Amino acid sequence: MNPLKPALLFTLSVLITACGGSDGSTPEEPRQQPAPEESGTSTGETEPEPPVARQLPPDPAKVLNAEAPIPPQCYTKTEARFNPCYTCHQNYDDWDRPNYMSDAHLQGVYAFSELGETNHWANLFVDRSEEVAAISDAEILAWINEDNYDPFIRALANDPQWEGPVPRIEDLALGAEAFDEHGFARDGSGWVAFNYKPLPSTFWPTNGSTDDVMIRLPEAFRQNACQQTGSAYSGDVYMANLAALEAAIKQLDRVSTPPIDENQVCADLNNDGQYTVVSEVSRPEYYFGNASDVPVADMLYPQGTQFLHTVRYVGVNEAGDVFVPRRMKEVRYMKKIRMYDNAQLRSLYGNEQQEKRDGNLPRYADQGDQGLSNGFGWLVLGFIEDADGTLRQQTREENKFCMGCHTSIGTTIDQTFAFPRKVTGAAGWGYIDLRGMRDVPNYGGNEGEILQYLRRVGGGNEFRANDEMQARWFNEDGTVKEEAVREASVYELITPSRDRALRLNKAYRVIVEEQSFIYGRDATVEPVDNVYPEIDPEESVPLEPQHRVDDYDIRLRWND
Amino acid sequence: MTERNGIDLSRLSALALAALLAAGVAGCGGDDGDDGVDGTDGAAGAPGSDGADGADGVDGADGQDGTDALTSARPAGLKRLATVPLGAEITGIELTADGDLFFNVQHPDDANDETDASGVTYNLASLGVIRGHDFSAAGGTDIPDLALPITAAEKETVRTAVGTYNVLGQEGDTFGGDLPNGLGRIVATDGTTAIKQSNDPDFNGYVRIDADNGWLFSNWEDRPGGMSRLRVQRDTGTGEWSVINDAGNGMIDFSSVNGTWVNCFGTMSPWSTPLTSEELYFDDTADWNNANYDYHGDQVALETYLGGTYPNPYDYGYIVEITDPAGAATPVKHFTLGRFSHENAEVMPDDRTVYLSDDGTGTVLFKFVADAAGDLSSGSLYAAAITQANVTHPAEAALAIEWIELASGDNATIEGWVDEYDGIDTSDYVAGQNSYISDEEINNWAEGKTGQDLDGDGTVEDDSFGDDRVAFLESRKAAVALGATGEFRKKEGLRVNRNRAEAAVEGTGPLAGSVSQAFAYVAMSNVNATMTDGQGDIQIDDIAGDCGVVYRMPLEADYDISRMEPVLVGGPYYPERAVNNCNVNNISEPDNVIVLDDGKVVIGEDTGEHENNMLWLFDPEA
Repeated sequence: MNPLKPALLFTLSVLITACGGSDGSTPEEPRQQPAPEESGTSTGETEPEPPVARQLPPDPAKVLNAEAPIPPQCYTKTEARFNPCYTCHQNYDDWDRPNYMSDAHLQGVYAFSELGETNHWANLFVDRSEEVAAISDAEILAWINEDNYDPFIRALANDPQWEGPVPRIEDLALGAEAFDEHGFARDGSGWVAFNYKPLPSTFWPTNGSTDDVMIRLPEAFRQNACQQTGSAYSGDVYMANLAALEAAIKQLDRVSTPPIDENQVCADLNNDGQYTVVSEVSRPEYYFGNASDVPVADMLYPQGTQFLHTVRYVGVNEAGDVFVPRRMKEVRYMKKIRMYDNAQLRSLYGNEQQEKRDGNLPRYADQGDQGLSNGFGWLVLGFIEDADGTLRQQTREENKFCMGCHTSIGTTIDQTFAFPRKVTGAAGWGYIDLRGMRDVPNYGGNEGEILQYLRRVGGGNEFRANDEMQARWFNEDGTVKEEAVREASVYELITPSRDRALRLNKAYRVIVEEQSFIYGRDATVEPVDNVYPEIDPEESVPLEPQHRVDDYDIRLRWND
Repeated sequence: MTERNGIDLSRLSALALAALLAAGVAGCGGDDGDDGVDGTDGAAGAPGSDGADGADGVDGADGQDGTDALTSARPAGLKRLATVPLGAEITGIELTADGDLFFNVQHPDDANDETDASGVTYNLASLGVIRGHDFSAAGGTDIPDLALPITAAEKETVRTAVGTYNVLGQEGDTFGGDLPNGLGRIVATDGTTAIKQSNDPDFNGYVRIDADNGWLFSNWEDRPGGMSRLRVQRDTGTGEWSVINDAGNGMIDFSSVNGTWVNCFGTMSPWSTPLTSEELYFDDTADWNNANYDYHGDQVALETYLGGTYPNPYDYGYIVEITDPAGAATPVKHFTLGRFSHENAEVMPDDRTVYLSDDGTGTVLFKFVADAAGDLSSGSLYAAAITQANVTHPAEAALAIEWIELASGDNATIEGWVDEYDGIDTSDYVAGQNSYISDEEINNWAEGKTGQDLDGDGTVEDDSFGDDRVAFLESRKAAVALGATGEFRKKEGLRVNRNRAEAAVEGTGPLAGSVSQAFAYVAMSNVNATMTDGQGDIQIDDIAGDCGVVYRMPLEADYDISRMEPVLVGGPYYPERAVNNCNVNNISEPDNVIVLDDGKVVIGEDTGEHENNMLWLFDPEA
């Protein structure tokens, strides 16, 4: 139902076929037909034809993929049986669960608009092995160990023209060192880091990136006036409110906390009838401190909640330890500017479904420096590396890529993934650390989430293209090495070897130099096989019903 | 492999090498002898065989695109009348007899934070009216053109070419307690359970009390949907409109008709009752009780509204008349006007001929003629069979209309048929079967009507029911089965100006003598999909696509219509733009239309292809 004919794109791809491998062009030159020396191989095999010719560098004023919210992973060839789709697309019968997208029917069916039937993620089809080989280990290690965040955030804070948010944490490039033992940012900015299990599987370090997530509640949630006049900052109030929020997001009756002095909060947090220092908060009806007029709503954040999410390269040392390095690929930020109740959300999701029925392309109001408005009360903003590694605001098309996950899919909890997956309770407050983390089951499940994922997907990422994961955790016949997986920690399961980490970093570096993010950000070295360049209803086999997964909840059973 | 323009290097090299070898002779080793005397030159050798063809040259760069037949220029006669904030579409265009133009701001972006001169912020759906300009009689003249919004303040507020936009209320407003649940909130029949909070006000119906007072009825689109009634008043001193407190303010109670569904556009009847439309958007009734249906949540919401009773699909998808609008406001569903995705029902000045717009993909144009003037409860339903002129360009493709009679009926009888489908729920669903009226039953009815073997199975069936329920309960499929055209796409508002119509057709009314020809106008929001698929009765070139087309239909004797012609084609469409993919100097995805007394057409947009949706004034005579 879209006037843009696939024929137009086919014409482009036939006339100007861009293959990877040419090291002759600089980012300023548009890709030409490769010179004969670079085409083909000695065996006469040809590389897969990318469905869309890349225009490099892309023109930031243009949108070449109006369906950017559909991520590359959605073009996976499921072969009717491999299902990575269930982590995003689910139905929930609970009338009171404030996500009414009910999109489970999208698992493995490629129900795209006419425009979306062409896989615009041309980077999946590029062979970067030559460029990757040309980058030395020393070079990439020096690259990822540079702090590109501090100069960027200073410049943003001092830019008189910038009207948007400045998501600043002192020393954020250093990771854990920027936060105290409970995850509170040492600079007093109010950001709090938490430990969480990355969503399978694009966010696994073995697939190219490490990341961290911080939350910040509005000032009233960090203040109280109960022991003094005015609105003084109170770490006790803040922690109590964070705990209350955690209980609400996870629908828990109570959560454990670091020690909190109830006298500073002037509330009986654990319902034991007295004011003492406690390490547990019962889910309250209202928040605490100066936010005591804000009701606690299941699975919804209070208005004014902010999230900061940095996506980084894969840090690795001589010993092969994997960690979050200094350089950031992206700085992602979202802020909740409107609180909707369940009745309102039912209407909003209903409107979203009607847009799909009408075959309309996705649209998000462009609020300029504030980012894109997702229509569900959140502003979403992203920064990404320029060709020389300086962080810059994402272009409209690049920012639109965020919206696929942070708008209209069925599994998010108030448009988010990470906080609902926080390690529950006191242990989960602090900078992300996958070491020793157990592969716990999801709500409603009784086997490790990663174990189930590997079984269902048949590989280590949505494209079954992670050879290292294949070798480590799968038998020759494609079955999972169940015992080994059960015995491994999350760190062991989802972090790459040093060699792989370096290769992934180099592959992404190539994309940064090209600035080809609109063609995909996946750090692939060789072209991906198990992905459709074009969805053809005749050939693109849908997932068979017995391979659907209909009981998945992103939240985890940490304490069982 | 054969598509590629490069060739295999290794093959070239081998052939090239072979060519070289064939052209000369390589010596072989032996014992070194004394150098002999140089011999005479030999005869020239035979010419070597041709070398392999060289690689194809690199393709030249693409030439410049030819200029489009449509350009970014402004079509003659088109002026920008208003713009609405980011994220919003324009709905509820309604012109009162006193010349007041109402329109609503549907679903503006929740991050809009700029305020207009009155201090209104547009991050909530809004009902409003343009104060300070009289659009009646000659009110369509001397309207300046409104510039495109550029600054944040312009993009996040409503701007008008004339007058000032006067907000009457926003979603959630309680009006001092008159609406305790808030404007647009849909509450279950138990009076307390909140089902939805619509941010989609649509149709505005105005019931006049006097020049400065009236009742404003506004649809609130949702599943289930609703309608508000607000007592509005213009301050005779300042000219400002507001809602005044009244016991009659509130959301209309639709429980007596089991609720309403997607209350869309609509029209006032000539006898001053609001005719609200239920935009069904449910093409295959078989899925209504399918718990695995993609959008089953809508049925669940309706079930919750009904207090736990599973809804009957045949209770929804009709024109609903609000009778006694200034008093009890009792809703009456007119099953007689057919069941489909009603956009609006336009009753002609004869008070009995009605044209009905059907929205969606593969839709039909319907007509109804009441048995008695002023009474829609009994009459005959027709559907249009289209023949296209021998031209396919969207600006030229005119369509001829022949009306095919579907059936005659009355509300009481049809309601009896509807009730036969009560009590069916998800437990009755069987995959591959239909708990309701099946396609086979529709076919059998059509074969009974036409006496033809329509499905080619060798027999002419008798109607399964012995009655015409199929025509009224599955109107779209019934129409197509009888040979009507089911190919329209996003057919939206269909309106006439009643004064002009009456003058042209009957020679009476306030404009008698000054209007010789009058038109109905209909907006086609997207001319694509079933209208451009190269099949069926309608085959239009897919070049206007997302930008839409407005058509006009000359009114003939007895208010008949037999022709539909394009008058305004939106676009061009620029696929690579981030925003404003449809030319901003032209319409994009036209939705509501109304016709002024002077024949000018007011067109509202519902589009993702203009960053700010626009209200246009079109002069077809320009």
